Amino acid sequence: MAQMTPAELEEFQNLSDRYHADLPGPLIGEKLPMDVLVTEYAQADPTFVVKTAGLAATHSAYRAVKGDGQCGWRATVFSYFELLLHSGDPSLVQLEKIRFETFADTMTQIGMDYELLADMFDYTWQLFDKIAEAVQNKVPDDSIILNILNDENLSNSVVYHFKIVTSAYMQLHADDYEPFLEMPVDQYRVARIDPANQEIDQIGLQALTHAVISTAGFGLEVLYLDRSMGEEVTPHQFSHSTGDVPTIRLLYRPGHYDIIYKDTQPMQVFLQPQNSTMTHIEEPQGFSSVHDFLFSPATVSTGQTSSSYDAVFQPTSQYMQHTSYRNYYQPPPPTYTDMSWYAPPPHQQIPPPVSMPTEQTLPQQRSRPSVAHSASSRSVTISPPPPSAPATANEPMIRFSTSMYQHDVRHHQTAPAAHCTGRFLVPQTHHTIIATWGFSLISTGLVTTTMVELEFASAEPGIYTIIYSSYKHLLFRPRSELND
Amino acid sequence: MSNSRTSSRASGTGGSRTSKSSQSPLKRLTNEIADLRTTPNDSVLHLGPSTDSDLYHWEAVLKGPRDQSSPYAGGLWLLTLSILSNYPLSPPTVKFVTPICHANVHFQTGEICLTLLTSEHWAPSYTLSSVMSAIQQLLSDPGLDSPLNVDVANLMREDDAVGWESLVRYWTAERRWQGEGSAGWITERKPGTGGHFAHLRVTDVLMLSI
Repeated sequence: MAQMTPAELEEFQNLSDRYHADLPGPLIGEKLPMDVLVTEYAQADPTFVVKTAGLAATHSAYRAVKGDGQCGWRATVFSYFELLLHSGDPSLVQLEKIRFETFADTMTQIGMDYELLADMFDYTWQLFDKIAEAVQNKVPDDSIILNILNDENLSNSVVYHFKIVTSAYMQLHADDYEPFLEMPVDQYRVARIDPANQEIDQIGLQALTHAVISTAGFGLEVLYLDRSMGEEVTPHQFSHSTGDVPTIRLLYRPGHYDIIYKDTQPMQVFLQPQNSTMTHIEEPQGFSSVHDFLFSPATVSTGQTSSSYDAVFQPTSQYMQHTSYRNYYQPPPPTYTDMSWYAPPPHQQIPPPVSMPTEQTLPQQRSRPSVAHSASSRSVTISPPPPSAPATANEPMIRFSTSMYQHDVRHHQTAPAAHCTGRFLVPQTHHTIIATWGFSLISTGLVTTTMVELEFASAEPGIYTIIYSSYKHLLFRPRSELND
Repeated sequence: MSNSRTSSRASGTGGSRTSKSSQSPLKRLTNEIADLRTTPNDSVLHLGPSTDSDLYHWEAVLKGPRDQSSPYAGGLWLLTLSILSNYPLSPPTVKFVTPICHANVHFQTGEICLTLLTSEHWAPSYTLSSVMSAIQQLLSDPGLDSPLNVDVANLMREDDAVGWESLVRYWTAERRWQGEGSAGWITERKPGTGGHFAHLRVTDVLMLSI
């Protein structure tokens, strides 16, 4: 074959860059059994065939994602909403929406023109609202998500929202990412994250996981279907998920992502004590290689000393029979320390909170919080049992849902400048705030969420920062009462 | 950024709002027009919709670089910007109507080769205003990798600065935009939509020499 001139090569490169196959089918396909994928791959590379067959043994279903150049982004975004929809936890959905709204501040901090982009985010808010409604009504129909994410324009707007959130997050944590890029983070963002029509790469996927996925308490796992040795796909954990957190699973074959599902059949879940993850938040670790960084446990950048509540409220080992709530009884994902963006690193030029609540100024609850729990249209009022009391077969035991650990103080709806997460405003000295409290009753197998009122008796007006342990300080009684 | 939009944001994050796909670009374009009023773009004489009834077709009058040593200095070019229904997810199609002698602009069609305007690199955070700034920047900083005007590119590649500059200066003066857009004279535009042409007269053209 004759050598091509640089001009010809350029021409071909341009053609290749501009080529977009006119692919059939929706952007996100229906959930299909794994056998379909195995059949589809029957004609493919023998390595793939063997590995795909192996996959069918461990995974139950897959969902084809259209290879339109954004499948990695779209697959992750879809799966995120799918996990929310099937979480059965309205407060988690609500919280996630608010968390996305607070990204407006993050974007503004790094100099993005949020106002200019804000109207593109309407579809994301709509999707959150529809999912919240569906979860509330207990009709988790996938078509809610499919309808929006299969409309190209709406879909790309939502995907772009996630991109810009990822981009802002990366910029805010530039020091974490810069060592693994060949260019400064701001250049990388402009080239690889911000463009509307760029596929996600590994660092982007890691940043998206840090910014959105693991902060929501979800895991992300990518199964690499490559030509490497062996008969099994190569899994990579993008989030440090231990135990059984709801996990997004993507199947990657060179250049393309699909969604894949693990067995959804009832299975027994054994809850591990999470002493280490709850009482110790790891210090930031140096990364020795790109690989370590990309596939490390989630990066950790804020630390919070533990309080005695840690020990008190640790989920203890519990053998749980009721399967449909297995996602809610797990210990908090260690990745919750990813919420470092709530407390921006000191080197960022961010207006500091007006004051930090100290032990003395912490809001005090008027009384032990009692939680109204509605089951089968009759209302039962229970108080959290003494945490050290062992659960017996007949005694209700309260467990705190995973999402609990993201539940921060939320303003009363009428209060101005509502911020659920990270920071909140106390506009006047005597101020009542509403906190979301999610909990589960194992004995009845019910999950519910309750609003708890907290009164700031002594807090000065101003902005307060919660360093991701708000529930310890704000939702629970003072230590002295607990020790009663 | 303009305060006028702050209020719209507060309601925007509020929750259930019904909007169709087609509403997004219009709202966005309206915002961009509002921004142009508060922060006019110095690289254009004018930038705005061609007609009041159609926000999807804009026109712009681009000014040459401020640097008087540039052979494009003092030039004026009319450009059209076509906006697709999925803007800002896709870039606008921008073309020179006034012919320009530039390595990255097709002399006949006016097509522009600019990275920012390709679907792979376009980001919704760019605006039509920032596109115009980028095109003005392109005048000062032509790329020779993928020329649309091979003749000009060849002159530059051969370091024929005299030949290149005289050619550029000739076309910059010869085909300088004469002050008429499809919607009439730019001077009749309301102030604030990108600049005034009234104070620019033939003397500006005379600064250009071949």
